[in-house]
Amino acid sequence: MKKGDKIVAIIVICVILISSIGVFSFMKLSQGNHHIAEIKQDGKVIKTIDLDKVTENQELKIPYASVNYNLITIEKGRIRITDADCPDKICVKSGWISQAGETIVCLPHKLIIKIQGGTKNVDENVY
Amino acid sequence: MNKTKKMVVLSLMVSIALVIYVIEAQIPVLFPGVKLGLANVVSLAALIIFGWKEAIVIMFLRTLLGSMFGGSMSAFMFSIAGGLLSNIVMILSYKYFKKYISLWSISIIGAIFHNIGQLLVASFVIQDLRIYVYLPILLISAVLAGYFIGLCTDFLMKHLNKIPILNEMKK
Repeated sequence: MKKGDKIVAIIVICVILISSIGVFSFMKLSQGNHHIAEIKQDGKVIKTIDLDKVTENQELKIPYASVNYNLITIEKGRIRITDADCPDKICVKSGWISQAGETIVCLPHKLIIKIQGGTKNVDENVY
Repeated sequence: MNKTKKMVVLSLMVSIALVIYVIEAQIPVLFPGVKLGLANVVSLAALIIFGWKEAIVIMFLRTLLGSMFGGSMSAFMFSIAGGLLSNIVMILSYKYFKKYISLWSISIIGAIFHNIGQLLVASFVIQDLRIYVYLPILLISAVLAGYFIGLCTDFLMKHLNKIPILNEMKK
C-alpha cells in the first residue's frame, strides 16, 4: 500500500457515493401515482403506454433493421421484453419492470423502455 | 532486441487474451452488463513489460478478434470505446504516478474508465440519459473487478519476471 492509494480510494469512494445519491434521488423524484411506459428506439419515441390502464395482456413486436425484433409483453402495471434476437439478451434477462424510474435497455437494437411517474394523464397513444 | 521475437511474444499475448476473453464469455453474469474482464490482465502486463504502444495494440487486436468470435459489431464499438479510454488512463497513471500508487489502484482506475467509456457510447447510441442509472452499479463492480485484476497482474508479474526472454524485452 503506497501513499497515493489512499487518495485514489477516497476519490473513488466519493464518486461512487455522489453517483449513488444522484441516482437514488432521481428514482425517488420520479415516483408518482402514474406508471407510464415509454418505448424509445433510435432516439424516437415509438409508443407510450399507461401501465395502470392496461386491462388485458398485450404483446408488441418492435422490429429493428427489418430483420431483428424485440417482443414486448405488457400486463397491468408491468412490462418486460419477452424475447429478442440480440446476441447477449441482456434486455430479456432484465425481467419485469414496474416502478417509475426503472429501465430496460437493449443496446444492440438501440431500444430503451422506461417507466415515468408523475401525474400527467396519457392514454394509449401511438406516435 | 530482435523484432521477430517481439512480434511472436506480442501475438502470443493477444491469443492468450483472446482465449481468456472467449472462456470468460461463457461464465454467466450476476447483473446484466457486468463482468470481470480477466483479459485485461494481459493488457496490464503488456503495459508493464513493453510499454504503451504495445498495450494499445494488444487491446485493439484482442477486442477486434473477440467481437468477431463471440459478439456483433455493436459490441465491438462498446468494447473499443471502453478499452481505449481505460488503456489511455492506465498508461497515463502508470507513467506519471507509478511511484505513488500500486498496481491495483491503476487497475481500478482503468476499470472505472472502461465502464464510463462504455456508458458514454451507450448513451450516445440509445440517445437517452436515463441509462446513467446503471452508473453506481457499474462503478462498484469496476472497483471489485479492478482490484481483482490488479492483484492477478501483481502475481503474474512476479512469475513473469523469472522468464529471461521477457526480461530482456523490458525497457
